Amino acid sequence: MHIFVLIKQVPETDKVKMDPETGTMVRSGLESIVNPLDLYAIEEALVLKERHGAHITVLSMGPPDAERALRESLAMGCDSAILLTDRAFAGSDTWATSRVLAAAIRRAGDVDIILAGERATDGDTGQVGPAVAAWLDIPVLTYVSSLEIEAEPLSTTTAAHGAPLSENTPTAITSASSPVAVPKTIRVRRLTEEGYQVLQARPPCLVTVVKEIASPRLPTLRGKKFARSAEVVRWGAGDLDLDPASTGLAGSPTRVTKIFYPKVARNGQRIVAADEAGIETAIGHIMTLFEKKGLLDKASAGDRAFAPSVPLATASFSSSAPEHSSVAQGAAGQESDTADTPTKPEFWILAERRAGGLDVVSFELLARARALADSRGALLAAVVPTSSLSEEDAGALIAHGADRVLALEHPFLRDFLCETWAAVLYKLVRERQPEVFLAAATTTGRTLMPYLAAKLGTGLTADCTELAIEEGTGLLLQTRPAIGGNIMATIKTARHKPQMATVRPHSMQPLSPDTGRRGAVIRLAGGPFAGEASEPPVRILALERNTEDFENLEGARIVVSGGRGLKKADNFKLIRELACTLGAVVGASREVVDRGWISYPHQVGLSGKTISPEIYLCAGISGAIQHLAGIRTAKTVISINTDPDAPIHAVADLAIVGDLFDILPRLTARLRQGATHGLPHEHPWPSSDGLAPASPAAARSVDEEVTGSSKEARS
Amino acid sequence: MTYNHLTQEIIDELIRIVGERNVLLDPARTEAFSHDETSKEEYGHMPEVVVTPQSTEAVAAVVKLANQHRIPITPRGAGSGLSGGAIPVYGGIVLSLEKMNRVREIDYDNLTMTVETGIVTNEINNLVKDKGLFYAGYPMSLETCTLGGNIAENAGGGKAIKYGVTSRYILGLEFVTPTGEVVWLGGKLAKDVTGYDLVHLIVGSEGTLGIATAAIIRLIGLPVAKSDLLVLFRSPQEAISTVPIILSKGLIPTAIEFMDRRSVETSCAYLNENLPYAECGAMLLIEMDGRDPALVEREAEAVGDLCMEQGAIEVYVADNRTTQERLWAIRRNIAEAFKVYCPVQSLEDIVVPPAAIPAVIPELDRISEQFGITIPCYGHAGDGNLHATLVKAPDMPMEAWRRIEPEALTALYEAITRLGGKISGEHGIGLKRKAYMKKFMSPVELALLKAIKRAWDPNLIMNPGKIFDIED
Repeated sequence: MHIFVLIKQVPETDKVKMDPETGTMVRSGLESIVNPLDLYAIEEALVLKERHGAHITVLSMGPPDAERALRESLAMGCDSAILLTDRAFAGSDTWATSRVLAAAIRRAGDVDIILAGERATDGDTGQVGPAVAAWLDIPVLTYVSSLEIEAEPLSTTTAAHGAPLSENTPTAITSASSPVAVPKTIRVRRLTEEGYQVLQARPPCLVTVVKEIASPRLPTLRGKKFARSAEVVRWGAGDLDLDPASTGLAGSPTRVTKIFYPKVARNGQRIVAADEAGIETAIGHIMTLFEKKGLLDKASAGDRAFAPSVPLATASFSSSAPEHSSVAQGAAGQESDTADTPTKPEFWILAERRAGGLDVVSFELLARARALADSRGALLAAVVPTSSLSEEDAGALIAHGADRVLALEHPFLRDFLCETWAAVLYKLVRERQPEVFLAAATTTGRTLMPYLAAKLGTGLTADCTELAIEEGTGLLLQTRPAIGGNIMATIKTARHKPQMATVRPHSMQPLSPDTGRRGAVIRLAGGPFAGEASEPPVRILALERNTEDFENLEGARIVVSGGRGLKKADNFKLIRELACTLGAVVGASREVVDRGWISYPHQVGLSGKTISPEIYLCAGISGAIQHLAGIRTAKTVISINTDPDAPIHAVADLAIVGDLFDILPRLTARLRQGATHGLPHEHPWPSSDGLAPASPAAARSVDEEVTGSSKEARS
Repeated sequence: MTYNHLTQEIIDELIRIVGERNVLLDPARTEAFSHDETSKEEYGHMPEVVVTPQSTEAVAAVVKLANQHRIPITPRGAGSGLSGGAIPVYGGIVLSLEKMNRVREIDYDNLTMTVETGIVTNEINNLVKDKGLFYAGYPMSLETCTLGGNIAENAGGGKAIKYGVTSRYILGLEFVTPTGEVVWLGGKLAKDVTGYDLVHLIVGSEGTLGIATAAIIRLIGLPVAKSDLLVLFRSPQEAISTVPIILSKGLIPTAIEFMDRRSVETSCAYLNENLPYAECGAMLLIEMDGRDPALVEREAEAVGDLCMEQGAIEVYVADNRTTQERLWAIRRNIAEAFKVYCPVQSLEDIVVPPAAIPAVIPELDRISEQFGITIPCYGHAGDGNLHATLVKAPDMPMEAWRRIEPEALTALYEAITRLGGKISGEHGIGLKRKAYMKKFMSPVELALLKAIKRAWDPNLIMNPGKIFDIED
């Protein structure tokens, strides 16, 4: 078995500091390291090697200095290393990078599995993995949290292993001596917003992994010695038969046009909760803030946990799309859509579905794209790959701003499968030539879009927080955070169509539905699209929706997070109880996830989730850059930390310098009583909503235990 | 000892000397000065007044006043001490040096810096880092600790094997005697045998001989490269016997930290760190540093080879910051991990001849068993300074703990004394351990200490009740 691991050398992003005076990043003193998320991919490769026998080639594109990252990987136990380095590669965007990586893998020979971290902590796009898979035309499995291989032991007759990706494959890289097994199937658990998908695919395929998958081993002395003496193969554009003019900056569809530094500090209010009065003041302020946000209204706690499901349009849908309710047989090119002038460009958004209907991110995208399409004089279409789109859902998309709904209906399109969806969308993009194509930066969008963009040969910008149309050129200005949110970059795709971008979920409110809006629903069932949706290369074996202790942080409207200040895993119940009472989702810092106090799906930050809740309340979290990167787009931040100098306080709207053990239990109790004195609303908390908080007695026992132990600590 | 209490006249005089805003009388504000990092309940005492003078003259005037009226005076740095050294046992005046924190001079030609002793030690290194220099006396303890506290305790820390302890970097002191005289001792001199070495008598005197208000400190070249090795051994014996072998080859690590099996297991479980430590009886964490990355790497490899030759199970190497932090996290989180197990502990800093470390372990096991407590053992293997920490069993009642703690400590100190060790290597005696001095220090030595004390501080006002009770 031959495994490739794609790695990137990155600056220590979580140690980036900001110059308080200039507001710019202080880069001096930063070391270059292996992208921390790639270490999980390396570890998983090593586990597979131990289990089944394999040769591991680690591959990176970068400056000559990136050799250090490769040697670090060799020291951990990888067998060989290739560095793709060439002046011509400089300035590559993810499209150009993935093209070079794919060319190198082709040249290197047979491959069974390609592993990569889910994304790099500097660029933070997650696009290179899926794009490499697209170039190689193999399946991509993203956000994988566990992986199993069914392998056949090497038969005595066939010494060959892996599937050739090209006709003539020099096998210089593949060591002949390594023990090999031939993998037959690969089965993975893929982390999504809703839980886990269990997928099965046939190798070769590309797998991007999340940190849940493995705990990286440390480099050993033996490994270091091997790494020092090992040859790191260097390939340039010439070695890969790539025209230098088509690589690097010159070959990149996207271009950074502006870099600026976002304002970090929020200069919020600070309260010192050192004594009884201070604690009361702090709780009063939190309650007031909750009230301002409408959290103390009588509503079931369960509804508050997630962004409100947008009420479906009650408009009579039949009137909005009478003639075009079904345009089949690939009629897109010749549709008799006389109402719209054919010269009008089309802007697309990808509408995503969840269990129970359309995902709210679809409406957020419509809100953004509506403004963009209007300023460009374009039509806005919502594209929905699905098994079948209900009239209600189609109507809701129109009511929220779509001029057209392109329903791609086929049984194979029911659940997200990257290759299948991409095949269908590829065809549709080629036919209808949209000018802009946006998707939410969800696990679906971040997998599908780079795969599709690579196939289409166009640029893609990841996780944008701002979009605008440039005056004069009419081009899409795509602004996104990078390096842990420490810088913002505005990016253009000037010469390629469509201009593609993924957009950070919950960075915009949906429009209020306008039931009077008219629009066309175009159902593209059967015809040429059925042919594209052939038997998928990846099969969904199961969907695990109600996995224990899984929570959809990205979709949460309120997040309550805990960090090391909780002192031990047990004390997470203080966070859980508050979250339960508020109808919030539980988050955590990297440190406590690393310690196993809580599972990875709860992790907020650079190597976890990036979230944009209405309210982010965190206790016992100091606010390392790594963590702040995940909450920059949170609307309101409340921090509770005993350390007055904790960086989290600088970015909080309400900074409480105090002990979480004093504040959290009381806050929970206060919320359970309902809003009390000083606050107008007095609603008892519903207890029959399934998310019923534990009894007040339980809250007291927590309180006692905690104070008990802290007393003991001082004795 | 009996002392006089503060009167309104004395308070007025203090206000005249240091200014009203530098005199704290409100118990809500002075409470913070009643304890250090030791247990407040057990060792805390309230001061009558806290003063925060801003000049050496003001310090001298306050001391003179206290001496005149026989009021006890307790000097204080950041209050991060671990032996109760800054606690005003007899009330009186706490003299906090927090506002004496100016840099008076950085002398790049002599590689010295003259600073007031209230400066946060960490800050010194931030100031000279850009010039490629550093102050190696920084004990790497709390980031808030001050130079004055380091001088009073002659702080050690994890890097002592290569860089030595605080005293090596103190060249001169501006000093206020217990009678309120100001004197400069030492200077920017590499050699100085002109009379007794009073500078180094003061360093480590725990604030009982007077107050150092400024110091001339030595700066050296800042090492820019480092490489860390985490070495797994089957037994403490194997681990410790490797140390002299490394040193005898002329390889001088910055740190050689020892962790026994119990410490490693508890810390790794706390951190969710899955090192293969099943067969491991002890670990060494070895750091090499220097100015040339290639040289540091070579030396680290040589150290690793020696460890393997001595039978190490595995040697892990960390030569970037991220991996280094992962290794050091194991060592740094031992104390915190045991606090989760049980927060009631007695943190010790015994010191033995380095080769005696393996012999300490069975003694700790014996004491643990005898008293039904846990004693993890970790610390600075390079210099024999171990943090053998007495940890109460979680279900043991506090009354039982209070009863056995002194007995177990006595047993521990007896054991290390037999092995040629002493009861404190870097935290000091202070209030916490003074009861054990009579038993574990020779009467002759103790008498010399007391004679010095009486000679310097005739009215016995300077930090009384520390190290020993003079009339005891």
